[in-house]
Amino acid sequence: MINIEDQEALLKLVAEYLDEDIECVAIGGTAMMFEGYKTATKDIDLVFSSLEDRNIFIKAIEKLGYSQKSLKLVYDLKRLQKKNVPLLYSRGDERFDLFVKDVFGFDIDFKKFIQKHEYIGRKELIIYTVNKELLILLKAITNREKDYEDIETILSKEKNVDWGNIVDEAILRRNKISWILIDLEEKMLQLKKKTLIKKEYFDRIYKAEAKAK
Amino acid sequence: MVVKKFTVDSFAEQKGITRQSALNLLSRLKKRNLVNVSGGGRQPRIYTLYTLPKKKTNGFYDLINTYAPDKLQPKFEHYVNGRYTVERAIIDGIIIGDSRTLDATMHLFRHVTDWKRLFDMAEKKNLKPEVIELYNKARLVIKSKKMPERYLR
Repeated sequence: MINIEDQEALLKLVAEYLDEDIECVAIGGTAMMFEGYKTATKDIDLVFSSLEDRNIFIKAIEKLGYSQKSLKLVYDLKRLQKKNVPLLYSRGDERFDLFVKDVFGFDIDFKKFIQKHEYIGRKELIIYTVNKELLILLKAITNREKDYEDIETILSKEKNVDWGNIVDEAILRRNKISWILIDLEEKMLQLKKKTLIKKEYFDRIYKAEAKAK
Repeated sequence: MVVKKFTVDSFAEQKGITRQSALNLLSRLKKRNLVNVSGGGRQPRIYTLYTLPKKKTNGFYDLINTYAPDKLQPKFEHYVNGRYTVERAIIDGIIIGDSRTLDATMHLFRHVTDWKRLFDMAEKKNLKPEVIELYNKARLVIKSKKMPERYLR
């Protein structure tokens, strides 16, 4: 586990070891910590805009003693069959999940961000964070241990979640990620017991899924 | 994120506690980044309460709103770890690129101390012509520092 202060210090240290300035988007627990939803996370999930940027980042963390780990214990087979799988690097308790351009087929837009965190060291590391709706959707599709708990945490702290936006974003990506609507619906059904989600959002999912089939 | 604004008296009234207890409570919340304070001195202090911890921003919008007469509404929260300079803010202003931001960014040319740093960054981001163009515009409307001739070529 890594807490907010450790994460800030670690990213500042990584910036000291970079060979070039790079930008990435934080998703998952890291973004949740940046946005104040939680105070500690198991892994630091970052999405880079290019393979080159990810390689520059990997080179820096390797200098800090991080080594590559297998994906098999973290992600299920459905996700591992995707073309663009992340690379996992860990050192002790801390782990980086490093994606390029998309998260299991879910494109990340580098222009839609709500926070910008700049770490100015020898080079510059810029980390953007996405809005809460996208965070929830990404949590629903990464489907790792604790991802569902994280969605619950966001919902317990945020009363104004735009479910229409979440469903629309998922429908947009249905052709690229065949299981996205099924996973989202499964999560929404679980969440319905704890929070109010209007029936119309479920109907929109069912309609889009039927149309796609 | 739910945001509520209070003065110390309205906060005490809402909580049903004394003024001193309210001040103590606000102080504790402030330490947890759940309260932001504005005002003080002649103005009454206004306490903004957040439901989520809110770290104080220290990036582009804070710097530009210090120097520009027309203040900007932040489009995003900008946090910087390290030294955020006026030169870096000029580059960020050009990248954001809308007319209000550019107008405000012009006022930063008065405070540039390291023209080399500015042009090194501009070159890295391929923004040298934009920097010169904005500088020329700034020179027409505000009193700003003179850029060394070598950078204008």
